[in-house]
Amino acid sequence: MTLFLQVLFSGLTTGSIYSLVALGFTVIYMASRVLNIAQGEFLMIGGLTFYSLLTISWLPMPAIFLASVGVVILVSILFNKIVIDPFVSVDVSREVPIMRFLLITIAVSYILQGGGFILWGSEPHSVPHFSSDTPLFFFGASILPQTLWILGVTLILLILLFTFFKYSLLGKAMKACSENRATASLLGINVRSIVLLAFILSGSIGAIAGMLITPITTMAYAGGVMLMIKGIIGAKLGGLGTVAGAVLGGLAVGLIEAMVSIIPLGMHGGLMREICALIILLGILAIKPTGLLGGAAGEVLE
Amino acid sequence: MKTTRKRLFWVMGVVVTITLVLSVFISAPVYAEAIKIGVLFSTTGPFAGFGKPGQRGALLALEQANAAGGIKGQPLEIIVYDAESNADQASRQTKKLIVRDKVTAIIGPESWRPAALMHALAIEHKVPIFTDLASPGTYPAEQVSWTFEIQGGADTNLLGTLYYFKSIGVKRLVFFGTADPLGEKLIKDINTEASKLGMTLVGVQLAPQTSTDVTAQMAVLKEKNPNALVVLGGGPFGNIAMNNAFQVGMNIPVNYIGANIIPAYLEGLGSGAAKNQRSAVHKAVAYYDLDETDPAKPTITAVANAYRAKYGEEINWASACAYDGGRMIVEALKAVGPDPQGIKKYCDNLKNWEAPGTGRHMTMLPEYHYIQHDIRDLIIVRWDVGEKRFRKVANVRDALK
Repeated sequence: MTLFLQVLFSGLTTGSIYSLVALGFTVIYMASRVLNIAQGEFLMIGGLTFYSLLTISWLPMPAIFLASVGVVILVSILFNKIVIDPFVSVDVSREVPIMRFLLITIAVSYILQGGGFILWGSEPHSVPHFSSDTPLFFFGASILPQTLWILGVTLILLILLFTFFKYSLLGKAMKACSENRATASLLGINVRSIVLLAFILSGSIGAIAGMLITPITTMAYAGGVMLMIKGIIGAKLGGLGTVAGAVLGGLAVGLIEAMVSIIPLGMHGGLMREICALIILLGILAIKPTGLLGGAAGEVLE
Repeated sequence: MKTTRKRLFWVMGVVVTITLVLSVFISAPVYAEAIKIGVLFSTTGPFAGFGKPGQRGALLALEQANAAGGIKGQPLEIIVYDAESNADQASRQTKKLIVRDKVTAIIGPESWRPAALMHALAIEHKVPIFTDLASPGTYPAEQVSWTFEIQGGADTNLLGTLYYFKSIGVKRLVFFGTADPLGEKLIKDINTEASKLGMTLVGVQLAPQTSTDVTAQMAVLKEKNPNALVVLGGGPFGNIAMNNAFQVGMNIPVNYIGANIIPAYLEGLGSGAAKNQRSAVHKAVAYYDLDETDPAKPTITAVANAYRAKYGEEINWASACAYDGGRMIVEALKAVGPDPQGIKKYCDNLKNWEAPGTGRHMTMLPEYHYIQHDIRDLIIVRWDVGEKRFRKVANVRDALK
């Protein structure tokens, strides 16, 4: 029982991290069909800005929090204005050239990592846990209070984003852009502004995610890369283009990894977790290519 | 007019003659040809945390030699390049140092990974390189015949701590490490060495370096009822492993082996986990806690003070090892002159060489071509989260009694 619970808690810890990454990735995809490989760098900048402001600033915590989000929003706006918008504004009715944007976001990812190295060096940095770092025990299994923070904020973000996309005019406009840009434009939706808003939202989510996970994982200039890869896997597994799918997919990847890591495969059990999550992903996609909750949006990527 | 011109020529002739005669007896100082030494550490990239202090330690040793008059009047010309934490780049820079700059020896880089392609160049061009070779046997001796270890391997950290564990009554060990060749080698080493000391390895788990949570695997290890844990892995991985071990309730001594023995890498280590962490390291890591009767204390303290005066920071594991490397080159040069073959022979025959920066006695193991330090010169330290520095817990020498 204890081991089962510990596996569950371990899976929830990593899964909630992947969910946050997947959420940010999905929001941009929903509005612009851009696969933003630099999403992990939003986390990195958020986490390390938070670290810097905590270290050097006398500001109260809420102000530091908002300032960190503000920095990443600025980066995401610049990213959109300099790199994405020039292509979008040429002809808003044209479909997004996926490969071109993929390569562009990869390049931006490297540039942001380089900037992170220059500003913060190569060593990882940590920040204090939001509440205590003393683990909580349930039936012998432990979970950190910081994990509960991550899970709680993920749930709040899920509810807010779900409400935004389902009930708000702006959210519906964003979904319309992702389904058919030409028609959305003809209906008077400002596609460029919608894409900009998506980047701002995604940047905010990335910043929040970075601040939440840094107490557990520490953060370094290249810390966003692997998390982004797992986040993409989670987003695809859950259904690219759905907010609930992003969260579900991220949690699923974390849980699968935790379960596989303790299978008695000798000392290589931990190594198998990396491979098995991918194998299971391939299996699910073979049966349901749009992902667990995916709809039409997922098919475009095929 | 003719007389005046004639007189002028005579005067000029006398002046020139006197000048020539005097120049025979008053010679201008002759500048001795400099001995070129290459300093190649990673000051950018993921290894920069070790590379930058390593470069500083090496430079301190070489500049101190110059300040003391060089090598029998010959100054050292120090040529510095960045290995960029990358084996290909380190190899390119090595070729530049050897072929273009014609150095007599090279010190660096800080890790066996970026150094991987340098050994063949050292053999081809017969230029000695002073760097890290991981542990004895990582490379066959003939592949590293012109490379000299300056750091000491993970195996001595492990062995020193196993002796310490034995002295505190540990019987059951578990191991958690990175899924790579070093991890697999250490498992074999633990099995061999622990059994000699009456300890048993009862559980093993490996994980990728990119893991963010390993509590599930730690829970599996906890079920084996261990008295001690050995963790291998640097950077965030090492801290996450130690934190997760504490989190699942493994409140037992943890031998940490890896890169997190310089303060910059220990930011993420929790206070609970830090209390259990133990590493066997050289004395410079906690020189301020050395016994007053320790004969190495004055020398190491002097090096630490010189380092702090020059760079405004405390000496650490990486900078002290590199300092020793620099001093090894200087002493070899003093003994044999700027002769690469002579330097190689000097270092091949190193026996009980007293390293001034770390207090280690270093001896060449010819079967591995690896300069090993005596584990009796190591100390057991733990990380103090509040003070943000290492504190000595015990001497390995005492645990061997």
